[in-house]
Amino acid sequence: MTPSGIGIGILGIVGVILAVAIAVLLISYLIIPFFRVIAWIISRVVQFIFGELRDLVRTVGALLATLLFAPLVVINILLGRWSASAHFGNSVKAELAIAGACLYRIVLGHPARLFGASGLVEGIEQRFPEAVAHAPTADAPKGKGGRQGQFEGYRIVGSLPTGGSGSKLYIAEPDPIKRAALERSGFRDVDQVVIKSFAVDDGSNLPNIVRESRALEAAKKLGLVLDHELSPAKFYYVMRYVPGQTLNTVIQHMHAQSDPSLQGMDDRNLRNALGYVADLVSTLDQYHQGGLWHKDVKPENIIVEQLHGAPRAHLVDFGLVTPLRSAMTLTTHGTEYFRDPELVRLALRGVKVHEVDGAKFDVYAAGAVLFATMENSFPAHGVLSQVTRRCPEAIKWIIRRAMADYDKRYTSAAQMLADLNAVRSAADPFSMKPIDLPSMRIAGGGAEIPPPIPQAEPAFAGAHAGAAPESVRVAAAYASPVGPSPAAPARPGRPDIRLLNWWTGEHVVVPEAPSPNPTPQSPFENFARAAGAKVEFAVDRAFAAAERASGSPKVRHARRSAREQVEIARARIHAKREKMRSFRSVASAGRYTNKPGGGSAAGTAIFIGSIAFLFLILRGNGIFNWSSGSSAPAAQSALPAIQRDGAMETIRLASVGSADTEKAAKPSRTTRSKRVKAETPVLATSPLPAIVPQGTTALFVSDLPTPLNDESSKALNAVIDALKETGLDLKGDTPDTKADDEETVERLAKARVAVSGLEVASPEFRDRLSEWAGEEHADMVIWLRPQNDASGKPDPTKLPIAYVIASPNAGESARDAVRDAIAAALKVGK
Amino acid sequence: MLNSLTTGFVDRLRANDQAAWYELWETFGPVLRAQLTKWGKGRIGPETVKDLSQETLAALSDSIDRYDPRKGARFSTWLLAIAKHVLGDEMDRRGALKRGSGKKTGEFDESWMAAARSALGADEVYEAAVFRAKVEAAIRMVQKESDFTDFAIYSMRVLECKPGKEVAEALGISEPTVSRRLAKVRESLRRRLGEVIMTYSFTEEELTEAKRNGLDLNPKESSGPEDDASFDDSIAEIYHRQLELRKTLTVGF
Repeated sequence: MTPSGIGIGILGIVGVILAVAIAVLLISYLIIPFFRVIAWIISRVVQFIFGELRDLVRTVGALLATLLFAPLVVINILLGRWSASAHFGNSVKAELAIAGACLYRIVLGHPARLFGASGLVEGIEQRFPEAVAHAPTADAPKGKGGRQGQFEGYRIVGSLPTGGSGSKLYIAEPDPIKRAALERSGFRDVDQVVIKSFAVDDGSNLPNIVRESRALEAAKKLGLVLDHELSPAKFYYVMRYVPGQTLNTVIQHMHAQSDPSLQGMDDRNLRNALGYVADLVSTLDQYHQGGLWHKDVKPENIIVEQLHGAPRAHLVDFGLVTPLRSAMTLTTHGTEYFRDPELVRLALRGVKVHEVDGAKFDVYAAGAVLFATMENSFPAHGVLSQVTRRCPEAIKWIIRRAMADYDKRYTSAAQMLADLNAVRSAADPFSMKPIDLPSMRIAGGGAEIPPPIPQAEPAFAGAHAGAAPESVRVAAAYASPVGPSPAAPARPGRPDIRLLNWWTGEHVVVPEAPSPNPTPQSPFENFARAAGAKVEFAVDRAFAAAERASGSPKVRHARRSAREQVEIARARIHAKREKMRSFRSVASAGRYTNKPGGGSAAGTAIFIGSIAFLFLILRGNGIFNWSSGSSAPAAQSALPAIQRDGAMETIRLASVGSADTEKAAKPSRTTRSKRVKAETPVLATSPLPAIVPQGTTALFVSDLPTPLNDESSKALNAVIDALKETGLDLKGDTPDTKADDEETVERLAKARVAVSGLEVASPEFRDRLSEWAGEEHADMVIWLRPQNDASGKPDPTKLPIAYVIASPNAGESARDAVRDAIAAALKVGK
Repeated sequence: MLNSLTTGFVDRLRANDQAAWYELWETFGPVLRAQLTKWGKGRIGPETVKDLSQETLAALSDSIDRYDPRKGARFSTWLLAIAKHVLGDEMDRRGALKRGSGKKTGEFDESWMAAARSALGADEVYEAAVFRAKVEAAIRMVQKESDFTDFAIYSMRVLECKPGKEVAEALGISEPTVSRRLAKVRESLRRRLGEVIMTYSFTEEELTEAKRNGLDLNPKESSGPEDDASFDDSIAEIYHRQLELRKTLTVGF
């Protein structure tokens, strides 16, 4: 091989290597990114298309549901069932909200994402709903009404759906005397109450009454019952009213409102949902600390109250509340899917309540509620149920732990609450792992309780200073019968150790702040202590500020002058009034009103609109016909081709087949005159008391000069052909030919004699001819007349008019067929 | 051939052991409900289905003394026959309530039931669901007796099909630990599955169902990781099918 050949070979090899390198570079930096971009675009487009389709279907579904709810709203209004009407009205509102959200995504959301302009809709999708949700509601309570005398001292203003205990639930307002009595008993600010009433005459049974009365004793311990009465006729007890929707409904709305592509709730709704469950578990912890267990925890028994954009969940219905130390035998009461199967097994074995830890059954139910919240479905598989929707792994773990076997689940509600609060306080719940949960950090199951979430911390000092809504909200929540504590009470845990030096192991123990109320006996005591502590703190701060301002320390407890004391007392009274005013304002926001709300109005409007729309559609299809003899004004616009002028019906050829049915139904004067000028053939009919049956004779009487011009002949022959098609046997003078048989000629003559001297189209003319037709067994007479010009002579340039007079003997059933035939003829004539 | 577990369970039922009845209800209740829902589609609501499934067990308790396992009839088939008659009685009662509907009181019209049977192929579907219910019962038993974390690992790894690495990271343990704990639960499940199938099986054919469904119950025979993986896959598939069946019963949330 020559050196030049070697050189060429080397160059070739180098060239190949370079080519390969360039190819690799091209593939890496151009082709692969290019295909990635293409794939990204395709995925965007596919997401867009599927998103649009999905939301379109959901919109249609929501609108269909709205149409179903709307009649229920109207029916209940008509029946005077205001509560039910308001209930269905709320459903209408919810469905419309879903439809609106879907429409928004169809029109703006998905297109914006398709073009990478997510920031454009961020404000609308995130900040706007938040601002709307946080907007204050009505400042004053609305109108009042209701029944009195049913329960002494209370006026009923509404009712609530009843459960399975055979009781009735009423919403009522205490009168001033009762309100004062309640205040004396320690129940302040009772605005509205729920009365649970049992009456044997009203469907209740004795076992239920006995069980509820046992629960009553237990509920009194927690201060949940304001008042009660037991008489031979009935038994009732009174609780505070918590306005809001059931968690069940709220869950469905949250899932429906979230972006479907997420396959679950969005972050905002997820945080809210976790907040509701935390409220629930916190309440359960209070129950358990009070020595009770609820036994019927389920989404239907949790009411989500909207208070100035800070929704809170309240556990209601303590019909099954049982003391943990009860000597009774366990019962299987409860609700499937939310009741621990182990409870049933133990109950079947006849185990006593005090032999088990009933609190654990509530924990199981809380886990089931958490599952239902995440999955929007029942935990049908028990502990083996699987969360398939979008859910943080740590929450899945909490569900698994809460619904685990009796001896493996959380030992207390507080332990579960600690885990929940840890996830809630995490910046990104999805980044949190089960190992990060407090219950996993402590060996042996003793939970380390994290600090309460600041949002839920009681902040009563604000109320003292100026009645901030948040502080009032907390106060109200504490004071509510089943209101949960804002956070788990602080418990002594392991000391917090802060490492100062990793190498030497130097550390300090951070002392734990003493808990002002480690074991609250009741929500009210808890509230009072918290309030007291905060007031003291505020007073301390005020003194400190005064000292700083004056520059000279004062003796705190030195006696003040009488003037100062009066001023302080006035300020205190003023602050208390302000607090009460703000409380009433907040309470009135969620006040129950049995009057139909916006949803009911929307439902009614939709119902009426739907009926009108349906009516128009059916009328357009000719399904709604009416008697031509009817004098109903609406009938005039029934068939576009028919116009009634006084007692006379006029069938307009030009309007039939018009694209705009609405315009044809109500032709303007201008349109009519234009049509006449355009030589539109006009077919005039008499009021038809009856129409001849199909297949019988119709007599044609023609005053027209023969032969007719082409246009007139074409139009009228079209009418005649259509009538013949219905089975009518037409005899007499047809537009083109004269009658030639003897019988027909004789009948024509008789007809002319019968109306001789009468002006054609006059009422006398029609009545006489109709009467004659009845006597002569002529079922129908069609009288053709030419149109006259201004001088009163027949105008050959104008189309003729046909007067159709029916005999009274004609059956009503044939009228529709004839009418259809006329309409068909008019279409042909046009 | 009957075994002591089977006869023992039947004896417990005959002795009116409430726990045994509840066990039966817990195991086969969903299958019964699914079957009744299929038959009565459009005719009976979920609440009625629930009532009818309980009535079926009540009828079973009345006739449990007449059941002879030695005749070789499947217990599940017998249960199904009772369910059919309970549903037939319900439809008959409804027909009788309709005055002037042309149906006489006490008339038993099975034509709709025959149609449903042929249309749905209820026998095969039902028997498959019964087998899945047995597997589910075994999983539930293992869940009860296992350590919470062990079963959680098994659930995450097998039932939720998460990779071992992800499970290990979530729980702060090593992957070998995940594998070890997984094997522990798997072994337990194999044992329990054998027991459950023995308890609720009355024919030779039923005893071989597990193997036909990819579940090798003898750990000694299954030596390699492929067998374990196959076992886990079969369990996961059965579990998810049973999950779907249960979901169909949870209407009305």
